[in-house]
Amino acid sequence: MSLLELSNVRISLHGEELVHGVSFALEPGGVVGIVGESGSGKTLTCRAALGILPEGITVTGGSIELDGRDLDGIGAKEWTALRGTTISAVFQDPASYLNPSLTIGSQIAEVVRVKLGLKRRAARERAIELLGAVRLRDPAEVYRQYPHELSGGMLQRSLIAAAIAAGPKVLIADEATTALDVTVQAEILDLLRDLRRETGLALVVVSHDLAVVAQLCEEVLVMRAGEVVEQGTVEQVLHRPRHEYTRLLIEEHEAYGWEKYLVSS
Amino acid sequence: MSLLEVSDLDVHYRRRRGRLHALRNVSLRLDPGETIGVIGETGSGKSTLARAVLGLVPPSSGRIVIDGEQVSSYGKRQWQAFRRRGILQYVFQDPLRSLDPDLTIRESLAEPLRIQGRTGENVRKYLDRVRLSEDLLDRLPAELSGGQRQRVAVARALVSEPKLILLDEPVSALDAANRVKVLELLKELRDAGTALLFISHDLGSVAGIADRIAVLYQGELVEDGPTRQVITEPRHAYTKLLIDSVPTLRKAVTA
Repeated sequence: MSLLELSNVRISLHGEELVHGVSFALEPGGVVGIVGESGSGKTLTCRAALGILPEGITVTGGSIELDGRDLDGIGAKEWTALRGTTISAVFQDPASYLNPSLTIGSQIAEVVRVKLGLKRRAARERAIELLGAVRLRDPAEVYRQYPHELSGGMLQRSLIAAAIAAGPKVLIADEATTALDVTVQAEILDLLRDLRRETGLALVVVSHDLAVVAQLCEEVLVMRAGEVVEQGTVEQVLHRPRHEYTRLLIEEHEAYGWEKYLVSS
Repeated sequence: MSLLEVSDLDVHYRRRRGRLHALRNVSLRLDPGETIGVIGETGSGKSTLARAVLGLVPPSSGRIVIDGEQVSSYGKRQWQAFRRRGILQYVFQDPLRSLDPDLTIRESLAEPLRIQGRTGENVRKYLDRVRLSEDLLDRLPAELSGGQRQRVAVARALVSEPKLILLDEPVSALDAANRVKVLELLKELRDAGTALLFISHDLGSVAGIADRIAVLYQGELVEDGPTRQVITEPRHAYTKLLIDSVPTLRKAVTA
């Protein structure tokens, strides 16, 4: 059984359809990638799976099943119970998801207390453990630090720690490495890969960069203007792209990037 | 003679406690018609280098010579006179910030010529060169898409027929289709003999255009060589890390 299954999901704002049917199935420990630019509908699709669509935007067709459960019409309380424990997410700008006036540790410990019902001391220990699990060098020190004292990469690691704190089965990484330097991006991608291998966490990796998605995923969806224009294994999509837009994304890498130097070397 | 010669450039910013060394001992030469890509991540000093070359931050020591003029010793007046000649132009990441929102595209394009005391009647052909329709001439920047605006910014840089264009993250804010169009345009400029100083965090977008790649790391130039050599045989450990970190489609398939 799939862990997360979207079948022909349509999303609309006041009768205007923004996402025209997205389907994919994520198996336990699997990785699905979504490539698309702003306005492609990739983020709306993720938000629908997390139950956090913006005001006025609703799922108007298809179905979303999470861990064997149809999410259609479930209430706010049930969503709160699912988020963090079954499905979780990290987004582009880590600083904006943290309270600047609270320490990193207290914000992660809060997640653990609320979601897992741990007592204060146990929550603190678990939070430090989590900061270690995302390979922050000195977890006990980071626990005491405030967001402004950390680099972008450290902040994103902290947010990943918060996202996996309650042991979710699915993690959505929506442009999670886009704002980071490329060397830091590589570290975060490695971390996601390791978490998947070590804990069986299933991933939905969303990016505007085909190469980022291709590196982590087995299956890729290419979205444009609310439509899935191409879907298949990474091999298929890269070697036998059928849609003109996918070809453009590949051409950009090959003609203007540095792939050609690697090929001929 | 080099078109741009940066020698032993140091730039410090004064901080409450001591100084921040933004650039240390940076030397870089660019010949006429040559394109060099300067790659750097956060804190590398790449923006400081751009600002120093444009005369927006004063060097703490070292020299900058552009087209035979030692601009690093220039005061405000001399810089103004130098800029007016239009030898050096620039394109930044966000075209909304380099185009005056109250001027039509026609007025924006004519401005560099007006500053030189010339009439700006012949700006049409520059829109042609960036493949934009003349219909856009009487529009305001806000009425154009992001990709169109960036092409206008390139056209505006071209009207004074500069010898050198400094590009600071010129395609970072664009989507794939527009990135390809602007990169294509920059390639044409390079082939037509304009020298480009292309500054970016993104090795991927620079490598296809640059004759040479220079790598800035924590304020120091750690690598400078022909593009192919830097990519296939990087010498500095940081360049190696950088190259291993860039996601590529090839790595994805062979991984």
